[in-house]
Parts: sequence; C-alpha cells; structure tokens
Amino acid sequence: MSQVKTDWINDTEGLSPEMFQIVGVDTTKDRVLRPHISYWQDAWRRFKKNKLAVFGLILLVILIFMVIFGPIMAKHSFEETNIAESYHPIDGEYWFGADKLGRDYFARVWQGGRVSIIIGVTGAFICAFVGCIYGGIASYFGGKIDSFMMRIVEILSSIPYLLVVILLSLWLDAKGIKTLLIAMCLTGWTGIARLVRSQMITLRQSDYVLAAKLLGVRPLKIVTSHLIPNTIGLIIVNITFRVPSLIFSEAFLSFLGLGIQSPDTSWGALCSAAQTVFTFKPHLMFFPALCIALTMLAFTLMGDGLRDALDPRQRK
Amino acid sequence: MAKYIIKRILYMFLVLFIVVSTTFIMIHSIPGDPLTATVENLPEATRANYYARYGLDQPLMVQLFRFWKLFLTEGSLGESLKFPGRLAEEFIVKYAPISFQLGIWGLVIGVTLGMLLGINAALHKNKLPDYFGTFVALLGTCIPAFVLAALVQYFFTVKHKWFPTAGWGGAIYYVLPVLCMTLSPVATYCRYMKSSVLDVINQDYILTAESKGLPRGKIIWRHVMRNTLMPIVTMLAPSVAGLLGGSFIIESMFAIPGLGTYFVKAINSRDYTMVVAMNFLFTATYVFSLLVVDLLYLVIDPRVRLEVKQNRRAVASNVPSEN
Repeated sequence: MSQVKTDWINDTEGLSPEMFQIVGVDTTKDRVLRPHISYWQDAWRRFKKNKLAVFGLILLVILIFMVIFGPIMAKHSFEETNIAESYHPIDGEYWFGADKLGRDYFARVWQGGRVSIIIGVTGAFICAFVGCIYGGIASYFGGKIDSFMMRIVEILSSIPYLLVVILLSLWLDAKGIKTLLIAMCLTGWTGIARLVRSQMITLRQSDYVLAAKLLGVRPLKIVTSHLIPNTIGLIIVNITFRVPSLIFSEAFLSFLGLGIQSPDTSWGALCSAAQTVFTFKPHLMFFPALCIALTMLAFTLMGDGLRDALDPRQRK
Repeated sequence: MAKYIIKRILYMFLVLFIVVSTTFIMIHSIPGDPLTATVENLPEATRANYYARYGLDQPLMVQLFRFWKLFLTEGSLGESLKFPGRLAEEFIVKYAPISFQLGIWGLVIGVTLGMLLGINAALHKNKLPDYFGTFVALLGTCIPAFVLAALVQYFFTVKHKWFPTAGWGGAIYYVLPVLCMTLSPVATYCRYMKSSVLDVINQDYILTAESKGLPRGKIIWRHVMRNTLMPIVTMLAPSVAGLLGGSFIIESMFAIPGLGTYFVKAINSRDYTMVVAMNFLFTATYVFSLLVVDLLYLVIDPRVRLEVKQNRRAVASNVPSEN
C-alpha cells in the first residue's frame, strides 16, 4: 500500500492558475422571483381568496358591532318594563317590537347577543388554553404520566356533557354567565387537549425536528419555532368551531330554563320565552333565532376558510 | 384478541363506576334537598323518620355504598323521592323505549341521508350535488333544533293541519319529531363524509385501481367506502349520546312522554334517585356505544387488528369530542 500524499499545499502537479479563474456567475438565474411571504401573510392571502370565508368574517364583524352598539342605539333600556306597551308592534320607536312586559325587543336581542357571544368566545379560549397546557404537558413527559393524564381525559369525556352542565348549575346554585362558563369548560377542554397532544407527538418525531436537534438548536427554540407554529393553526380552527357549539349549548340550556335568568337575557332565553306565543307573535322568535343562525353561519364559514388557509400542507 | 376485548369491557365498567359515583356525590352535595318542602310543617320526629326512610341521614359515602349494594344485589336503582313507592327503574322501563325509539330513528335516517349526500357531493365536486350538500350541511349547523321544531309545528300543524301538533300515539306522531332530530346528524355526517371521501379519492391506490380498469362502482364500494368509514364510525358514539341528549328539547316541545321530560323534572325537583338512575342509563349508553365502536374498528380496519395483536393498542380509542 503506497503512502498517501499529505502535502496538499505544495503539491501542485498538474494544476495551473487558469483553472482557478472565475468563469462568471449568472446573477439572474437564482434571483428570487416572488417576494418572501411569511406564514401568516400567506394564510391571510389564501383566506381572502375564499369568498365564503370573507363573507363569514364580514357577517361576524357586523354582528359584533350590533352586539356592542345595539343596546345603546335602542330607544329604551333592555330592562325597562312598560306594561302599557305589552307586545307593542314593530314601529319607529320599537324597532323589533316589544315583549310581554313591554321591554324593547331590539335592545333585548342585542343585549342577549352580548351574553351569547361572550360565553361562546370566552369559553372557547378557556377550553383552548387549558387544553393546550394539558396536552402539552402530557406529550412533553410522555410514558406513564402521559397515559395516566389521557385516561383522565377519557373518563371526563365519557360523562354525558349535558349532565355536567345541569348538575353544576344546580351545584353552584347560581344561574348566570359565570356558572354556564365554568360548567361548559369543565369538560370542553378535553377535545383540544387530545388534539394538541397527538399533534405534538407527531411533530416531535418528524424529521425536521430531528434535523434541528442535530444542528444543536436549543429545545426552547425548537418549541417556539417548530412545534407551536405547526400546532397553532389547528388550535385556531378548533376555537372557531368551538365558539358556535358553545353558543348552541348556551341557547339549549337557556331554552330549558337552566341558563341566563330574566331580566338578563340571551338568544336562547329569548327563543324560549317566545316559544309560547309563537303562533301569535312569530317575530319574537324570528329575531333571536335569526341571530343564532347568522352567528353559526359566520363562524362555520370562517372556520372552513381558516382550516384551508392555515394548513401548512396546502401552502404553495 | 380476546384479551384485548376483555380488557376493553372491564375498562368500560370502570368508567361507568367512576362516572356514576361522581354524579351521585355531586347531586347529593347540591345545597337544599328534595324533602325540605314535604317535611316543612312536620314535627321533628316525623321529619327524622322521613330522612331515615330514604337513608338521607347517613354520611354520603355510606349512601353511595348502599346505592351500589342495592344495585348489585337486587338490580334496583332505588325509590323515587318525589313519587313514594315507585322505583326509579320502573320509570326507565316505561319511558326509555320511547326516547330510544325516537333517537334511533333520528340517528339512522340522519346518518344514512347525511352519508349519501356527502358521498354524492364529493363525487360531483363543484357541481349541483356538491352545492346542495353544502347548503343542507350549513342549514343543519345553523338552525337550532328548538327553532326548527317551532317552525315545523307552525307550518305543518297550525297552518296546514297535516300532522298532530304534539302528543304520542301512532306512526304519524313520529314524523315531525324525527324530522327535527335528523337535521343535525344529516349536516354533520354530510360534512365529514364529503371531506373524508375527498381525502380518499386523491390517494394513489385509487389511481392504481382506476388505471387497472376496475369499474367505478367497485372502486367506490371496495376502496373509497371502506376507507371513509373509519372517521364516520368514530363519530357514531358521541352521536348516540348526543341524540339522546338532544331529544330533551324535542320531547318537551312535542309533549312526548320520554325520559328527557322526566330528567329535567327530576333535576328541578331534586329527585336524587331519579337523576342518578337516568344518568346511569345515559352514561351506560354512551360507554357501551364507545365499546361497540372500538369493536367495530376491529372488524373494519386490518391495521387495528394488527395493533391489537402486537399489543400496541391503548384500551380506549380516541373519540373526537363533537357536541
């Protein structure tokens, strides 16, 4: 076996300086043709292309505007009773008519909307927050702790959801926003916890996280720049779909008489009260029902759009 | 395989035990009790007798123990507090079949219709069936059951007297309540089926099947359907529980003598025994349907069978929480 030459610097046999001339670089070839777009810019761009989703967003903005300013625009307070105006028809003063006790229905519908939307949005965020932390912890520790935590989730989600709500509202002996929120969030977070956990576990085993680890990226940096951005889309979509389901549940409970109590009101409570006089005063049912339907529509359309827009696999 | 099934069944009983015990403790810790109104004007000794009769003078854990003992030895759920002398299971045997019938009709019709609409929509994407499916799905997600019930009652019973407004009797009394209960499952299953089918028909094995010349019907039946059934089966368990819960409103609006009506009444009058008994039934239904879903996986999906054989499968499967 011959000795391998190791004198790389002085051994220039067969090499000439001409071989090391720059032959020229085609600077136009590798130029980036499109401007750099971040994930969120790209998602927004794709969201805007989806006409139905944009319609949902606009609808939601209008509804939120009305919910905030509606009670102020009305000529009477939502609590002000006036028996003389009982079932006042729709006119310039009572834009949506008046209810049995002569309360301005326009003000009541939007006041009820405040309660419904607050419950929906706050509830969804609480569920998402708790679910993310729980799912994150479970997937971070893994092994026995993970399977124990997931067993708890399974048992919690085996309890009929309606029952928890009914029992809790009786147990706390208070019917109102706070009780409804606690009751609905108590088991509501399990879905998101599962979602976050399974997503985190898949991501941790993915090749680019492995690559990042090999390159010596710090764990915190991996979490913030790989794990969270890849999960946040799913979480946002889940929140968007949870809001209408919470509004629905609230309406359902208020309809059964377990939710918001008079004089405070919500869309579900309004529908419930209107049901008895539906044959004679259908508009009392129509307005709150329409509001529920429009809110559902807005969130569903937006959720569909966001799901498509935030899915990184669909990015081109 | 047998070991897995046995483990799965034991797990079901464990969950049932925990949930029912928790409910028992929860309902008993609600402030106020069912006898307050009855015994208000009675002398002290009679009052004490009353409480002793229902075992309410005992510590909570003793009551819980007695409840399980009574159930396991005699199969009884206890005596109703509001209807002295009547046992909780009598109510269940009498009224549960009505609720279950309604729920099952609603579910079967809803799931079948929803799946058909969904498949049709996915196979004709961006054509009329697709738009129709999307429209129905949106309608179903946007309209609360109680609004639909009110509308349906108004048009079909008040304006045109085609159907009875409320009550319970022959087949004609089923039509409107079942109609109201189908809308939500139709919407849900249509949406899921559509996205599921779209996922599958873009897979390579469908392309392979097409390129080797399989007829279209066979591709849909053997390749598309089998693979889309998984997510649908997963959703069935919460749907069963949801329909039973959802029937509360329908039952009360159509004055149907089902469990839902009694459940709300029992809760409002603090009839502990009845609440615990009905919750027992609902939880059992739900947990049992979860078991059935898990066993169905074994039948449908060969991958699950493999997992079970290699002992890699957890005892309980993940069910999406769709309310």
